[in-house]
Amino acid sequence: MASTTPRRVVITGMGCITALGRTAPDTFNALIRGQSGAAEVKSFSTADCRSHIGAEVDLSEPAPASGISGSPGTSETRGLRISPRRWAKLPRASQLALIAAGEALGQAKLLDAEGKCTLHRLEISASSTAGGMSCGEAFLKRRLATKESPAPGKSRADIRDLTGYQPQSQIADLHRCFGFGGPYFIVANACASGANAIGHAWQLIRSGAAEIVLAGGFEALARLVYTGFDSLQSLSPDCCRPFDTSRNGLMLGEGAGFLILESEAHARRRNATALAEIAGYGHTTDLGHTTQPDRQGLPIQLALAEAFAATQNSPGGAVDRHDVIYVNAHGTGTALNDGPEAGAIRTFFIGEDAAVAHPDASLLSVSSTKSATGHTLGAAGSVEAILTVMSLLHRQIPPQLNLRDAEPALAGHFRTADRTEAPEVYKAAASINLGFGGSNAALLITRAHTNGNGASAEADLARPEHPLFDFPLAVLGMGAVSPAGFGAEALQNSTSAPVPGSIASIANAACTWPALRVDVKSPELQAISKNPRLRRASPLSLFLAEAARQAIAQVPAAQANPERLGIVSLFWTGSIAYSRRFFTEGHTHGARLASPALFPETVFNVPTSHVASMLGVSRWCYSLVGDEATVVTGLRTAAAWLQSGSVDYVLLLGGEELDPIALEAYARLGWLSSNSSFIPSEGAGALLLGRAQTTPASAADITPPPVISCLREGPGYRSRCEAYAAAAEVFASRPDNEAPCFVWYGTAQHNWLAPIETRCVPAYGHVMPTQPYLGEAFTASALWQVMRASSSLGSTSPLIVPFFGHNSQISTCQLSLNRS
Amino acid sequence: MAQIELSDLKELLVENCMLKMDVDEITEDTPLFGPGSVGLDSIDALQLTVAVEKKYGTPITDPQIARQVLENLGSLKNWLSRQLD
Repeated sequence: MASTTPRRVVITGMGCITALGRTAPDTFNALIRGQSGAAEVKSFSTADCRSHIGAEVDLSEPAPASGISGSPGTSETRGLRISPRRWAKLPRASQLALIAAGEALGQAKLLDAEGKCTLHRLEISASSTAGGMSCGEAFLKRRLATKESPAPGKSRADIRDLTGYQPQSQIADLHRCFGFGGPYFIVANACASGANAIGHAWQLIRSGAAEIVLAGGFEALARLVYTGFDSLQSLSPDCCRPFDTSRNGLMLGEGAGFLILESEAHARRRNATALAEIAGYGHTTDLGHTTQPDRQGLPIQLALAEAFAATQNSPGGAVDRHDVIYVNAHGTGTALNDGPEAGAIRTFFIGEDAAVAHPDASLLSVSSTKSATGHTLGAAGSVEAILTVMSLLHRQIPPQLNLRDAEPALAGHFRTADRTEAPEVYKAAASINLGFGGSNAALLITRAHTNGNGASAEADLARPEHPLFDFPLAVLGMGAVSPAGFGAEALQNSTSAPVPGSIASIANAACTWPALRVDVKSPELQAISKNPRLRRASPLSLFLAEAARQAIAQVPAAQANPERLGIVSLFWTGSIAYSRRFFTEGHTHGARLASPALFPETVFNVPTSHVASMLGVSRWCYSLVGDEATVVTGLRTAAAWLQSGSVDYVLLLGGEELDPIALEAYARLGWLSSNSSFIPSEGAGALLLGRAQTTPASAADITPPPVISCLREGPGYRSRCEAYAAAAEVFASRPDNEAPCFVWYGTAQHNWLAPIETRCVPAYGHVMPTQPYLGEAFTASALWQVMRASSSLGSTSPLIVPFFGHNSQISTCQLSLNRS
Repeated sequence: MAQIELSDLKELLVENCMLKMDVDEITEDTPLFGPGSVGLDSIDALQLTVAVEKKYGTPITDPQIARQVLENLGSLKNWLSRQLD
């Protein structure tokens, strides 16, 4: 188990690409000079929108083989080694991610002469809100334009678009381009995600669960998202003016920002230069409204307070709020964001009362860099953290562009481009990000100290190179919404497979595919939809909320103390039904007539935020994008939270909904061919997790809860050969070689994973197949698998539960009834 | 004056704002926003504006006017009747 003394987390590399420049120094220099990336949007038509401006990155230059990821001649930022032909085929989001990650890896001295990562295994903590959405749009447009129903065959363009549109594909591109593998975590907490990606990496390293992590966010401008903000009338028609009293909306941008975060000891061992330190991180969830922040900015203050509190027991020393000289604010430039945020920053840093009054409040400077870079959504938190580090390193404060009459709460705290020099005492800075679904995140960044705590540094050096993080989790409650019915019991009690219904093709109603559905009109879901927060909810949100309700009802202590509860949700597609409806409306009637009520519900973390609001969970809430194997990533996140002591319970949720467009996609991928056993399914699963008791229950009449331990995330693979190696790695590292595997046969039998699942698993233990088959509902299926496995547990023998993910990942966990 | 049926507006309201309440509870005078109302928010206001434009071809561009028009179904009915004359 990891040590309880937190470790120092330093930044040893950074890379960023925005409309202002292709590297972190280029972006920062342009920012300091007062330049803006604002221009007419070119990569798609905005003719039918209310607004037409954005901050796009010019990616029209030749492929990066010529060294585009850095200023020519600098050894730190070597170019990407990728052929122009392959580069041209990459989704825009991948191009942005590769350039920024390449710069970060280069600066951290983790690239060899061939441009490959010198580490074979490097964990990724990433964020995005839309991934390669433009690919998804291209597929949707083709489907809407054609009257034919897709034959269960394969089209090269469809396969390229369908495999490129999820953010997992950008991770695969990073792995492929730089030649490394390892676990990955993709957080989609709307516009706070970029800060969450850094914060999660910080938590892993601080607790000893990881040594070094590539952390950051990427976002490519996409029409669906642009149309969405346009429908909410959140986009400025002319100019983005953060913190100006005449502000009239935000400007969307695109870009990517990546950092190399590592433990201070790890950096020292490999002689890497620490650029700065992540001293603290906090996250809160605003339960008030899906899209409107709290009028007092209280959740922002609580996130900041948590970030500062983390420094209290840190070996780097406590940071005082008066040490902060610069705050990189979220500052979108919308009427509803900037006022409360300005008030929150003033109250927190300058103080309304004598207790926290700033001794020299004039030293505090604030700016929102979004008037220059645009709002880069899922990348914003990472890009802005990098700009904050650059500000600290160069002792320059980014000016506030387009400001005439400042919000009174912060008047006098903004800089102009001719006055950017920072005071000598500048040693700490903060970056704040907010997002839909009430996400609030704060990062606290300090100069890298040279004098650390000697004892802790020595202890760090004595640690193994790859610590095996193991923190056992007790399963205290379960909930399920599945085609078998409501409740975890329905998963176990049903003896025969449900009869599939059918979903008709968008193009041709005569063409239908089998699908296992959940009845949205069922009394259970009708009852939960009466919750005011769930009025506009997608079917996905209803599934998730009902599964969560069942799980938490079994643990009164968790229900009564929502402030001690966190939520981790997992999604493969998110609300695909609402996304398809919203896109189709904009495509058919024009962006002006697309439904504003649908757009927020398409955002990945909004279903999670509804559950948070329903249960009163105002702190840790993450929404992760992934596949079946991501269940173990979610369990590991839960373990990190529980180990840190910040929560006592974690609700792990997974949910999927079906829509004709999903079926069209599966048909195009060849998954629905007549010889395939794949039946698409939908629903949700919920596990209420707590810390496993270290002493076994003494009372014989109390059944101990199932315990999940030995979490293993495979390295990912790109070929059958690598898949066998990945399976060998995860199975070989399990503690009990005799433990039988609990396999949900059929999860992968429809594709090329089949031989790995059916041949590989038996090689590593006795297989217990489960029946009946409830179809493929990705993250939900994986949680159902855990629930079914737990009901098959014997009193002595542990079970290994493997997860074969559709994004080419294998992960496993161990289930037992006691810790031995 | 163009004839606008209250039932049509109720249908538009329930469908667009995805209301789970009994439509008989809504009258011409029931406020749509604020305390003691149907309980709509700013997103519903934008949604109703789009729905009215889509169905009747009458855009409501000024937020101030939108606030008055969308006070209740009666005000919406009167405004639409005048616009369609």
